[in-house]
Amino acid sequence: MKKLILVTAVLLYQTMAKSNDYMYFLVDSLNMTKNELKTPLSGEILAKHIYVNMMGNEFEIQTQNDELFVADAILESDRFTS
Amino acid sequence: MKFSTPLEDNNPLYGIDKLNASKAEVEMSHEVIDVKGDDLAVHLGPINFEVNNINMQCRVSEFTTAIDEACIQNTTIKPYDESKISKIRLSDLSEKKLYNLDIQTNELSIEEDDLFIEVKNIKGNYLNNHFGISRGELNCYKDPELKIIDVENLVYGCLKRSKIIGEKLSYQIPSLNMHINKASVIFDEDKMKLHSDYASFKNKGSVTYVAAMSLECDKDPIVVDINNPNAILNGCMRSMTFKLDRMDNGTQKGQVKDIKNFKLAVNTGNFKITGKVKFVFYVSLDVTGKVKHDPKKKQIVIDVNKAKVGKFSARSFALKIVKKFINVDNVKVVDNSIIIQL
Repeated sequence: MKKLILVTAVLLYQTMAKSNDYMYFLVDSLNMTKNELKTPLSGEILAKHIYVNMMGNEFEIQTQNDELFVADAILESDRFTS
Repeated sequence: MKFSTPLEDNNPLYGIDKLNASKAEVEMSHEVIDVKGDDLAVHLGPINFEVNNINMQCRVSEFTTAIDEACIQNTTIKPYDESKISKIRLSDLSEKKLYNLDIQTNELSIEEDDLFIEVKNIKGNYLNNHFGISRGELNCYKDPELKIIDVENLVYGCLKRSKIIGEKLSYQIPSLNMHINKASVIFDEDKMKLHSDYASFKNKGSVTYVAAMSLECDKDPIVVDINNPNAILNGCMRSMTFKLDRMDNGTQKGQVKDIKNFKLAVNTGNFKITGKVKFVFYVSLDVTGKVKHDPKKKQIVIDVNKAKVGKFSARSFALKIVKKFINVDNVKVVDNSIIIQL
């Protein structure tokens, strides 16, 4: 019974986490390229607002007075890094 | 500051080779992928996809980073700045350069089996066929199972079932430059119909003008994933009616300048042409014979059995008249036959 509750809880958490997945980008410019076929897509984002909530990982940068910030971004096959 | 998060396994965004955007707002939720902005350009494998001034909403049932798959299924694109039009560009980056498509529109929508474009202007080429549509609408069948941007599949969808209307349509191949005004083209499952108020056909220095043209043909079924290039040709060989009020090749020097009340009917390999040809005054033209398609030689062969100009039998003269009006390199008159090289 405890095992069933545990499995149900894990599944419920995963479902809720997935339904909360959300990305928002307000960018002034974004330039990302792959240097070679097997290298990840990477580049620079000049942005005002980035919000990412993926699988329970939440991250947000937002500037005031329409200022811009620079983020280096890397998009791998299974991971986004900035 | 550094942030890193896992993405879905085999995240499809990883297939992107190049991504550029300016003044863009992107929202991805479990209900919608919403992309607004001035410029966005993506190289996704061999596909170059660029958009300008768009407000694109792709409706989804769960969060996904598979933007291409989601947006090819249920999408609306409108201008972000409503005082300007949206521009969408698709091109083949591979060595084959199979297609290139420029769309200017105020609305493009994709639903399960339907693609709709309110056309300000479309210009493009597909397999060296150049085409254009100005000021009109394009409504095509779309394969509900389509998961990626596949231009060949979209073209076959339009040949399967579509309605295309335009103030101006153009079609260009090396041997012919065709412009059609106020045109409508309809592809049903088993028929195709074309109507136009006015058209011109240019080849080298010659031009033929045509008024009130209509064409109706049978059509073989088109299955989207099976290449059937002869579906329309096969249907037209089976049953075709081609009519026009008037045809004029006024720039050419010669006795015959125009034909009116022209009608060509094809029924299971037999054809009949009727019309009135102007010399000093109009005389009737009646031609009958057989028509067949030779797929191996890629030819249409029209064998003229009987021809009358006025009350006189005049087969070779009738063939000269036909040749004068179809004065293109790929049409030859040999003995009593007209051979069209496809």
